Amino acid sequence: MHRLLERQLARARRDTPDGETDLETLLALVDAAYLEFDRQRRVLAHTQEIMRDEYGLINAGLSRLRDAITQMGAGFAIWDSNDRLVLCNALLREILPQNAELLRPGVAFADCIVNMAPHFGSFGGAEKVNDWVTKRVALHRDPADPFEITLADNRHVRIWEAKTSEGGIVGVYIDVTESKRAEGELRRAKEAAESANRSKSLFLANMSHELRTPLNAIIGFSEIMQGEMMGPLGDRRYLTYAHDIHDAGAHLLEIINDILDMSKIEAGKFELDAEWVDLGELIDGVVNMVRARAHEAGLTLHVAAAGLLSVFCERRALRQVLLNLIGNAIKFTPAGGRVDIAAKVTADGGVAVAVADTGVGIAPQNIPLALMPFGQIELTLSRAHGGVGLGLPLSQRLAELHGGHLEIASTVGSGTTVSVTLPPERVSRSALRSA
Amino acid sequence: MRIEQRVWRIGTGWRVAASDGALAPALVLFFAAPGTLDDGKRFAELRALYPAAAILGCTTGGEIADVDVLDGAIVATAIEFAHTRLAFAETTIEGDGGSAGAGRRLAGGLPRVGLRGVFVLSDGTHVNGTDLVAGIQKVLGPDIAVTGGLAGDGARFVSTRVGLNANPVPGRLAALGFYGDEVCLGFGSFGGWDTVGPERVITRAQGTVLYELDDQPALALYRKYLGPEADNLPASALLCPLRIHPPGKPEAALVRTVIGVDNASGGMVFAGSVPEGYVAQLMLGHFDNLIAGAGRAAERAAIPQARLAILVSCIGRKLLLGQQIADEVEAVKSVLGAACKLTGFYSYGEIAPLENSPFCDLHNQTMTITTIAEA
Repeated sequence: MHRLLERQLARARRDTPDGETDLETLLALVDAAYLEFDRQRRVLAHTQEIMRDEYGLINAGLSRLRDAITQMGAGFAIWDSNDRLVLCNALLREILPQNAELLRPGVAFADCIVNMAPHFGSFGGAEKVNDWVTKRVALHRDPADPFEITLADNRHVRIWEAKTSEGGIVGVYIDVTESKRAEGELRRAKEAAESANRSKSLFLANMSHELRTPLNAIIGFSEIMQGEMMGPLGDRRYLTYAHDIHDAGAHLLEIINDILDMSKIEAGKFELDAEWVDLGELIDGVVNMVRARAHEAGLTLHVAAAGLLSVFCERRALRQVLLNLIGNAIKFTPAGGRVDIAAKVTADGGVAVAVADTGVGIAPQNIPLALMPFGQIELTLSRAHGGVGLGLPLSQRLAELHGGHLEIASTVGSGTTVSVTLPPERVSRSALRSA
Repeated sequence: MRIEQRVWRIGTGWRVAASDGALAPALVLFFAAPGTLDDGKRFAELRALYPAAAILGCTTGGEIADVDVLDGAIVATAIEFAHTRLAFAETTIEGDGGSAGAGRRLAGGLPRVGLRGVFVLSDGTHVNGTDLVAGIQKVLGPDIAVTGGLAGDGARFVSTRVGLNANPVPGRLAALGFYGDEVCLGFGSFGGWDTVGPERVITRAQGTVLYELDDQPALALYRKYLGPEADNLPASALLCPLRIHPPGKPEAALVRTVIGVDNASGGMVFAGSVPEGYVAQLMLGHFDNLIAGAGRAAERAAIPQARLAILVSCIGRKLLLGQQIADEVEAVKSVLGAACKLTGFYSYGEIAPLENSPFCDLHNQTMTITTIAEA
């Protein structure tokens, strides 16, 4: 008799007072046993169904992983806890063709390295083949940061290895020969560009000096002629010509001075010769110099200076900055407009001089270009308005040399405000004047 | 060491199932089907039968009387020790520190000198078994083996009861300490369930509540595994235990079992912690493997001259094995021998030392055996 039925019979006998089991009870027991086996069969059938589903899930996951490993753009390998190859992709065999035959599941990592040894170039300063093998195997067992090896055929392979949870190693191997070469080229190009820039600055500094010497003669002698210091020039037209020669020479000198200053600043050789300067007086001086030009252009000039302020700066530099900014404002503002010059103390105790015009304005995307040396040329403004485009960038650099900065706020068609700010430590609110 | 075993059933009342003759028991262990204790009469009868003994027991998901697995019965085993001394402690889950606090209070109530082992019975629906065992071990250290189980409520998971010298009530925990050089205790715990399907990572869980595996709702996965049995959740979730282990440490695996489902949040409540980041794998049982597993537990628990074995087996095993459940008890008996009397119950969680470790933990879905002998 089946064990289950036997046990149930025994129970039934024990539970009936006289120990006898009638046919009905017996049939009920047999029926229960059949039902039980039906249930067990259903449970097992369902189990099988789940196993099939889960197997499909595992299989799909495996296929995805295998596909990813095959398709990935790097060599890939998994080594087990005994350091034997579990799997690798075809790209690894391409990267290490010397090991292509060897790289089969089950091969020991050390055997691969020994086989590679004659083909090694350099790695971590190891000079001897044995050192290389020892070092490489040790690093493989205890991986740290990614590293590169150089092979004898001058190829570079970048290697990233890490421990797996089962005590093996997973490795990614990338041939970086091409990117190493590109990197080298980039570095060389950068060095060449820096060297060229240094030569340019040196050339400009020398040229400026060479150009200034003859200009001094032109300006000096045209001034003498203009003043008719050695007697009248005769025809009045000569006087006009002498005046034109002097103005042209002075303009040229300004440009050469700007170029010289810019070159010095770029070469890091510009040194400030600072002193305490009365700001209001300086602004008045500059405004007086350009008032006639503004008048000719049909513009009005307005000055609002904030009381008595002294700034510790290079007088010539600050004057040049203000001249540039006010000059630009006049240059780019159509007749009938106005230029406002305002000096005020900033919240942190520094000073800001703002030059605002009602001119053509600068589009936002062009502001960085306007601040680049010679950038104005690219903006094709110089052709219409003259100049080489050094005014703004030079003013910015000079402001920065003073620990300050220059800002441009502009709306195309309605005007531009350029502000130069000097830091608090350069500002005194007392009436201190330079000696 | 002498033993007398009595079984109570509706209709027949208390009957002596086995006896070593007239004895003066120090301890009566009883395991009672839910509902049998409600009127308090059965406990009063036990007290009258054994007036001098300490009486410790709980409600169950099935009662074990030697090789019989019963339903709706009470199995009481009276034990007279020749040399072994006993001490008891009890507490409730309501005190400070939750389950761990209850564990500390239980352990703290047992004198440490001469302590050889501890058997614990705990409420099975309000206690985090993992925390309980951790609390006990925090006080006792790893040298004292702790075994026992969480009380059951059939397959209902509503109310479980434990009592020491009183009719059992919900929310209670009690511990029995064995003392003296003569007492020998053996332990064995084994599941026999088979892992099925891929390893999944616990991506959302809180304490004993599991929400997501691999970012997918865990409840949906369980429903798929259970198939037509899904309508009987949470009880049917016992058919699919969850094997969990810390990432990269499969040797530290534990089996967890579902004791409730929160349909609103989709959370599945387990009898022990299910930490986020752990690797989880669902399990299914094969009848023969579970029965063989019980035999393996007995092999581990076997000690010479064992006279009594307390079997704490999981309700999930009984749910799957159905009428075949007595086979696993017979498998234990065939290993431990005719001289070793069996008692025990089907539980909501088993407590036993971990294999190859001095530490104890909560187990689920296992056959867990404590054997007792006196030298």
